[in-house]
Amino acid sequence: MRETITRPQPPAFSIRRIGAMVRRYWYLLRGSWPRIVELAYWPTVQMIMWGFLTQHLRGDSAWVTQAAGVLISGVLLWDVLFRGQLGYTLSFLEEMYSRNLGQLFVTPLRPVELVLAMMTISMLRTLIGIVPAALLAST
Amino acid sequence: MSPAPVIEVEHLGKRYASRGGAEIVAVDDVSFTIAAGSCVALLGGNGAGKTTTLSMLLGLLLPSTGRITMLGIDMLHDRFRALPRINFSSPYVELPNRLTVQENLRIYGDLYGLADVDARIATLARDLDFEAFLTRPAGRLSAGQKTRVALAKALLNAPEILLLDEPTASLDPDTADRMRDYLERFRDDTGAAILMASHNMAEVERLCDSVLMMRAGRVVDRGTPNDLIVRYGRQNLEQVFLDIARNTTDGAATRQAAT
Repeated sequence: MRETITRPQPPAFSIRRIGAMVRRYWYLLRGSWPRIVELAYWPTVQMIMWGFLTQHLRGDSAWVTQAAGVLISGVLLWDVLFRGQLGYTLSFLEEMYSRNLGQLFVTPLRPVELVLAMMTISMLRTLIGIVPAALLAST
Repeated sequence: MSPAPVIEVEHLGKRYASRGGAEIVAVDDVSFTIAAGSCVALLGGNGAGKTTTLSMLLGLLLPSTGRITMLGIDMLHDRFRALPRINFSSPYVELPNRLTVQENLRIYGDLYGLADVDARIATLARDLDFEAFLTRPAGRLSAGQKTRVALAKALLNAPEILLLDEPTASLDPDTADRMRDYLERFRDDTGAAILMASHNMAEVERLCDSVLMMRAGRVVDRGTPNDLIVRYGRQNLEQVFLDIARNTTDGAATRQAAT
């Protein structure tokens, strides 16, 4: 007797497929403590370095303090952007390095879903990096 | 009445421009059909165009000429409708090494939208005998274990069309035999069509109803394994393969004339 397989037509856009890819990148991240520590390390170093500089400049005139504040905000926002694009690029490079793109492109995964999954994991990576630095700054 | 074809390939061609400006023909005017429930082998020496043909069928490469229809769907324009019903396995395309076997398969199960991914993985792990290393990272598996896991990935969605590149590469004879048994049972139970590229002629003789012999990008002969053996006056498919790969065309014609 032939095996019967219920096979509904898959949707053109699927949150589940995006979730699967996010989970794939999360498994990778979770499996490596050095990667997680590295994510939080550099933003924290930046925050400490620029924080001390602000402290140092606080004694100077008002406009110097203000300019330093703007500069620090700029640097930190730049770091957010930098971490964001790094998270995105590294996910893609990971796929290329593990020679997995050939496998992925013959599944029902659409390119737009892959891009959205990479954006999601990039946001998660950025949050992991920025939240400890932001907490440090608030203390 | 023979079953309707699930793969129809018409005048498929792939050409690359080389640096010197000359054209390299990887696949040239290849046509064939494959019916549901049948197994067809794509045979040929290295560089004959087998992998390029499989890649075009999967949509990984765009053909220069020709048309591919799978499950009645035009693969060049609407492949996403067909992909959930197709799968493939190749020892040359690995699964991410740092994820465990279970994690890898779970992700693919979700990508194919399976209803109960864990149950399907458990069934395949039992049937293909890899329960013992489900929690091991894919990168720490031996070549034979990787082949089994790749096969499991290819069978996850119980595909109606299964494309296999060297399905039993690196497997010991006992495991390879059990994998062939499983593939035969799978084909009989589900009516799936199997197109495989293999260099194991005994495997092809056992599993396949039909063979496409390729050389320099063209299909130079075709038929059932037995037909080819008889036509070339040989003892087995390996000798036929050698005749075709070495272009010793005296094989068929001379022997036919002699008999």
